[in-house]
This record gives sequence, structure tokens and C-alpha cells, in this order.
Amino acid sequence: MLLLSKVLYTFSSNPIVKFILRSAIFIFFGIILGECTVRYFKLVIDVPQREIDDEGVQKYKIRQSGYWRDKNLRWEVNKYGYVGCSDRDTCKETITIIGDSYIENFMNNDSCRQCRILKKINPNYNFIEGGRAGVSFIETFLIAKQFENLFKVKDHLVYISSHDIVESIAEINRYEDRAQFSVGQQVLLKAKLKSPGLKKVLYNFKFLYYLYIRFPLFVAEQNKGVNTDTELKLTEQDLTYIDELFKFSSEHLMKQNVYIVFHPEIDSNIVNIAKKYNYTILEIKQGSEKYSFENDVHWTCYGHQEVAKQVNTIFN
Amino acid sequence: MLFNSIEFAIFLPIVFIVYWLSTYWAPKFKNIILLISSYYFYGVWDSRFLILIIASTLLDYFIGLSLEKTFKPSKRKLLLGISIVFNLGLLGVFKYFNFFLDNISTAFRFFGNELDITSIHIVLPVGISFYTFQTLSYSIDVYNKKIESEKNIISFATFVAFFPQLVAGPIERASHFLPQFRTEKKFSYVESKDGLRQILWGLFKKVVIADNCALFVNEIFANNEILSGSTLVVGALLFSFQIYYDFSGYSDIAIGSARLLGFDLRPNFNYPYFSKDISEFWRRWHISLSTWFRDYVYIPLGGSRVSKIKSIRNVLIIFLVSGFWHGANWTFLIWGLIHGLLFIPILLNRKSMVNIENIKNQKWFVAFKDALRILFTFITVSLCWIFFRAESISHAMSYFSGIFDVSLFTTPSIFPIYLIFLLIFTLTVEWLGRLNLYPLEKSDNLPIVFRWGFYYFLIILLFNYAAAEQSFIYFQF
Repeated sequence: MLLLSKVLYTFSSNPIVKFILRSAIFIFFGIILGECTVRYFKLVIDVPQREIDDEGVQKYKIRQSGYWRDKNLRWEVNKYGYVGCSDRDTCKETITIIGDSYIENFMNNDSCRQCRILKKINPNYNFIEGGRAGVSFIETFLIAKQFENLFKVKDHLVYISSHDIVESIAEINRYEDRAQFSVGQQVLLKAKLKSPGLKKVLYNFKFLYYLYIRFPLFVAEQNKGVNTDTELKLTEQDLTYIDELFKFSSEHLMKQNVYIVFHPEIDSNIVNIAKKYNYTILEIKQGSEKYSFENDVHWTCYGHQEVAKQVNTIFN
Repeated sequence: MLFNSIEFAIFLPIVFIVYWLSTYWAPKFKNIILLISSYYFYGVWDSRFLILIIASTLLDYFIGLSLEKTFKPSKRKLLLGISIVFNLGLLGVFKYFNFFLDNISTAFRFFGNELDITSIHIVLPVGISFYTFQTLSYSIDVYNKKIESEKNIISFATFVAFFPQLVAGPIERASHFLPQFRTEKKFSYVESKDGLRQILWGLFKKVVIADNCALFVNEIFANNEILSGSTLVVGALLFSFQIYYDFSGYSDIAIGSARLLGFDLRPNFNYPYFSKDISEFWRRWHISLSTWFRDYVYIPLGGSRVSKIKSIRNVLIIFLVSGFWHGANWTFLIWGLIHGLLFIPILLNRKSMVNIENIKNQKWFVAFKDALRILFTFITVSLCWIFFRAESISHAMSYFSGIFDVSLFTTPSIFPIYLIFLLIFTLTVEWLGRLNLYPLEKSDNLPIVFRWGFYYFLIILLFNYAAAEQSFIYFQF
């Protein structure tokens, strides 16, 4: 004890050590204060933690909830690992709604979901949502297949944009955290969770996540996979790959009870390729009023309602 | 790398730790560590221009040595001349080449001739106006035998390239700064703590105040033709605060960083907007530059100890040169000229030194008369800043004509309330701390809970109000 106290005294009497220790204490209390401030003022969005299931599909860990910006925009991960409707009346037929962040719909409240709007119009069906930000075209079929394994599904509504299709092809852009199709190898590449350790830290320490977003060190890496262009310019090579993608999915993945719901302003070449492989498609038409937010490409509540009206024609 | 960047937040602690470790285990290498760090810091900006700073360093190092060994006046003058020509030549080429070219072309066109010359795209090396003046002051001081030449090339190179003050000052004098590279360094807990505090205050001024002012200033100056006079006044005032808090914030970070490493840099600002007249303003604003011009231009010309005509001439030269130093644009010259013209009556009435220490001696409140003078000086300076900020003389004139318009008496269309509150807060802190080098200097007198509470409050404001990153204004010089 005497030796320990002597050592401590020597260290603490050393001005550099004293300075570093005091700075460390200041930073420590600062982190606590920062964590409380960020959580109280909701300075960062709550993002659900992800995991990869046995089939290589990325989904959210169940029983999570949080807020997108404010308390009016609450999200909750359902028992299937997605955000959205999950209630099922076994007496009714089930239709799944699968898509990316548009279906995930963090930026609107729950009543604006496709499943809620369609349920209102078609109360005789169950609508189950499988929405996850960044889901690729190929992944939607894997998700559809997983739903098929869980319960009987009448139809799958797969909401797809041009970006979702391009992101499915490894040769165009390799995203390791998504299931993709390799045209060269003609196989499905399973997803791998990116930086799981760092993600775990950032999920639990919102202040660090705030710093990570606010003061990016690795801007290019952090922005990778973020669609900043609403308009995609497809080359001839891209279209060849897309053709291969549709060919593969029509031969190896489900097709019969799948409706591909193309987002407004989908590239017409993609539509033609889908038709070529006999997919049942619905092209959503853009109305006179914008469906998306001013500073965000996602649909507003109005946008979701208009889209749902057009999707509803499938049931008529 | 900018001082208000994550890269610098990582760079500085690393240099701090390595530097102080070396003073204990390998004290001979401490200047080398600083030199490498400084070159790395500068190289991150643009590694191509390392050659310039190294060339300037080597030239003035050898000139310094030669000046000491040479006694023949003509040879000494020649050596000094080489230093002046080289350093000012660097500035001339990189900063003023296109300006002169454009004006020669304009002059020819005025007389009906077309001169077929093409401007060259020359990238301005960061900090060139600062380090050239620093090395020049060294050569001049050695020539005048005010200081001995530096024998150790590492010490000299580190003096030139010292990263905290390399890119935007303060411009240090060799007599004050160079000896600090020769002395043994001992870590001071008090100095380092104070240095950190000064960095925090500097960051707050730069990131919260200056950068937020910039958002509105840019918008107002870009659209001055369609905005009301009252809005233009808001723009001019916000620019006054932007330039002050931007530059003084940078200086605080520079001085604080230097103190962390055991170095003492001279203060560069002394609450200039609390000045009661223009002469006092110039004793408080960008002190390192204004004293440089005073000591190396004004006094050699005779200063104010000559006839009245020559005094006026000297004052105008100083302010014109000072304006021109800031940039290759007529607007800076006009800005300098106006300040010179404002200074002359004070000089001629021998009242230039009247307000020394007056503000310091007053307590919480100033007398009404003094408050009016402070306000008048601030408004005058703010109006002059319009030339500084405008892109051209016509832009400045258009801005002025917009102010002095009937719409001056309408409600401004741009009036950021949150920023006004932040400014009031900052000015209050500055007023209360105006007796100190920087407002938080004596905060050790407060209990630790209040002290740390205030620091955390500043940090929260920093994170909350950090606007889109704006580079330091004075980097362009």
C-alpha cells in the first residue's frame, strides 16, 4: 500500500501526468455530459442494430425501438426483423410488402406506411412489411422466400427503384453488407456485416455516433452506398448486367406470385428487361404534385397514399 | 489542416505527447520533432510549397550568418537587400503578379492599346505573407545588430516554420521568439492548462460566432442589390464580428497551442472593438502586423518625428502598404487609405496615445461619453470593412448606396436572433474579461464546478452551433 501510494504520489506530482490525468477526467465527464445531451435533445437519429441471418440476409435485431428525429416518428422492429406491419389474421390471406428505405418509412409516422394504407383500402388481406434501408433487388427475393417459409403468402409486392437493381450487381459496385449477384460467377454473394465492432459501439454510445456523423474522418467510406443522385445513368454494360440479373432471378428465384412495383421514373430499359423475363410489373406514375420531401428523396405521407392508390389496382 | 478540424484535434495531442516525452528522454531532438511536425502540418496544405518555406529559411539563415561576419557596410546592405528582394519577391510573384498584370493591361487599354498578356493561374501558398515577414524581420534585426544571428539551423528553421503560427500568425519577432528555441523546456502545468483554455475560447469564437456570421454575410453581400439598407447594415456589422472572431479565434488557438508546447507567442488582439478611436483600434487590432509595419517601415521613414507633411506621408504609406498586404485588390488599398485618412487628424492633434489603458482602468460600466465613442469607432470601422469584404470597388460602392437609402429605416429581412444572442453573450464575456490576455485567463479564481461547467457550456455551444466549415479568412493572405 505504501509503495502504491508512493507511486501514485510520484505520478500525480509529475506535472505532465497531472495534466494528462486532469484532461482525461475532463474528457470523461464531458463524454458523460455529451451522452446525456445527445440523448435528451435527440441530436442523432436512432438507427436499429443489424445482424445477418443464416441465409446471409441482413435484417434488424428484433425488439428494438427508437425515434427518427422526434417522438412523433417512432419505429419498432417487428418479430420478423423488419420495421413495419407484422400482425396477421390467420383467416385472411397475406400479402407481403418488401422494399428499401421507402418501405421502411422512418421519416413518416406509422399511419403513412404502405401496409396501413393498403389495409384500410383492402381490409380483407393481411399486409406484412419487410422494409430495410439499402435492400437490393436480389435481397427482396430472398426476403420474400423467407416469408414464404414462415407462412402462406398470396402475393409479394416488391417495391424497387433503379438504384436497388444496380446495387444488386457486384460487378457494378461491390457492397459487402448486401446480398448481391455476381454476373461473372453467376452466384449469389451473401452479405457480411461491415465493422460490427464499431457499429456496436456507435449504437450504444450515441455521443460517439454523433461525433462520427458530425465530424467524419473517413468521408468517402462513410458516404459509400448513399444515393446522392436521384437520376441514374445506365451504360450498355450496366444493362447487360441487369439482363443477367433478371435472367438469374427468374430462373433461380421466385416469380409466380411476385409483383414488381417500380418506383416513379424507373429507367424504361429496366422495365423492358423485366417484361422480357415475364415478370408481373406495375410502374408507379409520378403525379402532378411531388411525392417526395423537399430535401429528401423519400416519399411523404401524400406520396405513400398516391403510390398505394396505384398499387391497389393490382387487387381490383 | 484547419485548426477547427478533427485532423488537428488528433495531430496536436500526438505532437504534444511526443514533444514532451522527448524533452525528458532526448532533449536534443525536441526542435527536430517540432520542425518535422511543422513541415508535416504545412505539407498537408500543399507539399509543393514546402520548397518555398525551406528556401526562405535557408536563405535568411545564411544571410544572418554572413551579416554577422561582414563589417563592410556596402556588403551588409547587399546581403540585406538580397533577403528583402527574395522575400518580397516571393510575395510579389505569388500574391501580386496577376494584379499588376491586370492593371498594366487596363492602363494600356485606357490609352487605346491592347496588351496581349495572359494571367497565370498562380496558387497562393498558405501563410506566405506571414512567414516571409517573419524571416524578413530576422534579417533586418541582425543587420541592425539588434540580435545575433542564429547558428543552429534547426532552431532557425523551427522558428520560421513553427506550426501554431505558421499559416496566419501572429508574426513573431526573432528577438522574442528565437531564444525560446535555445532554452531548455520544462513542462508547466499552469501554462498548458491555460493554453487549452485559450484554444477552447478561440475555437468557440471561430466555430460558433465567426462561421455563423459568415453564413449570413455571404448571403447578404451576394445579394446586396436586392436587399434593404437595414439588412445591409446587419451584413456589415456581422462581417465586423466575423472577421474579428475568425482572426482572433485563430490567434487564440495558435497562442494556446504554442503554450501547450512551452512557447510564448505575443498577443495579436486586445479587444479592438472596445477602442475609443481609430488610433487605439490600431493598437489593438492585428498587433503583430501593425507593430511590424511600425518598426520596419514607419519608424525608418521618420515616423512622426519629422515635419507634418512627412508624418502624413508616412501614415498614408503605412496604411496603404498594410491594406495592400491583405490582398491584391484595389478594395484593400481603399480600405487602408480610409483608415489612414481617419488616423491623420488624431496624429496631427497629438492625441494618438490618449486612450491607452483608459478602457482597462474602468470597471463594469463605461461613462456615457466613452460608450458613445466606442460605438462611433465601431461603426466607423464596420463601414470600412465593407471595402475589405467587397469583391470590387463597384461592389463596395453598390453596397454603400444600398445602405444610404430609404430602406435603411425598414425592418431587416435577415436578422438571425440566435446569432444576436450569441454575440451578446460573447461580447459580455469579453467585456468582463477585458483586463486579461483573453477573457477566460483568470477563471482559475472560480470554483472548479463553475469553471468546468462554463467550459462544458462552451463545448455544447460548439457542437450545437458549429456551422458548415469556413476556412479562416486570413488564410487568403
